[in-house]
Amino acid sequence: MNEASQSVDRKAIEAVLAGDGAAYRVLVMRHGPMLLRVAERITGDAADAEDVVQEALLKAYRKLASFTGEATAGSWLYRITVRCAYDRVASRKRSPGWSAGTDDDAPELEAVDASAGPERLAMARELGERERRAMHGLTELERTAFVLRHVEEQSIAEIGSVLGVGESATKQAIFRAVQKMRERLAPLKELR
Amino acid sequence: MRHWSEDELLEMVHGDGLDAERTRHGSECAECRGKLEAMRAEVRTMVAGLGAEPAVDVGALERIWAGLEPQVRGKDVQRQRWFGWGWGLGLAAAAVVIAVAGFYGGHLWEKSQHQEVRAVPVRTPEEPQRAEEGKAKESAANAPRPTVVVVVLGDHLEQSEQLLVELSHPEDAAEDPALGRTARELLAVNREYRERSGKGAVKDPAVERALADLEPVLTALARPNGELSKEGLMALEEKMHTDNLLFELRVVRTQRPKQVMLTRMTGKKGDA
Repeated sequence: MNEASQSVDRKAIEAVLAGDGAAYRVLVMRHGPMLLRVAERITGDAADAEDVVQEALLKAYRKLASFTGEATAGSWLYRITVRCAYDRVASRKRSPGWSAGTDDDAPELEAVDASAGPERLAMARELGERERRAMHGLTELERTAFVLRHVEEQSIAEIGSVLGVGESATKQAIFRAVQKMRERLAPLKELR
Repeated sequence: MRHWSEDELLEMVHGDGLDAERTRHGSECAECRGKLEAMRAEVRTMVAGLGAEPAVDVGALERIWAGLEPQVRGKDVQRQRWFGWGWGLGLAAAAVVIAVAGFYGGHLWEKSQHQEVRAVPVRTPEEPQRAEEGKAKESAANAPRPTVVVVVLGDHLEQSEQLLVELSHPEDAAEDPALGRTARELLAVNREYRERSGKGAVKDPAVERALADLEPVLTALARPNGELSKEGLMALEEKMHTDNLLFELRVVRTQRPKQVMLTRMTGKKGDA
């Protein structure tokens, strides 16, 4: 983020701290898309992502006076949002009635002729669905750490810091995530 | 020559380098380089399986702002910095009370089961007439003291929501020194509101239900020796399904008028 962009953030924060609550909209609109994207990546649901971002922005607003400016406003909001999204996923798994879904209840896949258009498309869709199911089979820590490392391309240290776990535990979580997904997706290899 | 193990391959995929000797092996072994590329391709497939980059719905940002705006407009963040938002309720309500009942003096008004819980206190500065000079102190102590309480439903629900949002982050909530005090203030107001609802002053089953659901949570947090550690708060969150309660309060608040004022005049004995 360039200096001019950070300057816009700083002015908005100063205005909010001076009592102009409406100035907070500047931060919401500037960083909202990035926050929604990462929240949806972690929660896997657009509606949940919206709730998470609203909650994170409210939390950030309450803590705005303690924002030191050492990090950029964007990365500060990003961290709060990731934490809220992670908590949301964790609480969802604790809720009765929530089901991640497993490959056990998915239909058997059979290889089809690669040249068959509609069948091939249907197969691709099914494969994508299996991959999503494999992600849901991970623990919330594994899933979030995987997304942050391989999708958001955050460093191990940053991920550990945001999720409140050590670097070693973070590495292990990503490690397990990939191993689990490889196991679950192994039967699909020949179908690609 | 020892080939890269699967663990080493994974470490390479995650972007962690191996030590110099093991890394050098990659430059000498085409088989291991091939395995590494295959595993990287697998991870790319996993990432692709998450779906395309989420498209940001512009309407979502407007909805988020619409939800935030009432909570940020007119709120003084700097004051929250020093006093915590829990004080906001007391100060704002006290200001309303002073305006409504200017000639009353302030004092605290509510007691919880084991501890006095005080919210928006007002009573007449004029003590009951003393019948006799020699009995003045005793009379004053025993005389009924009218109390006016003003509760703004919208504010109460909003502050309760904020408390529940805070509870959803137990590690932060456990560090909030004002949590117990805020819960006690809200509990006092909640009881007041429920008492009035029971007398038919407010006929809204949804509000009554929400306040009834809220009360055990506030009671648990307001206990003088309540467990406000991270683990205690997590247990409370799970036991009382505070996520569901938060949703219930949001629905009630957004569907009800913002400004509902409730007043009460009571005569209580003794000082408060």
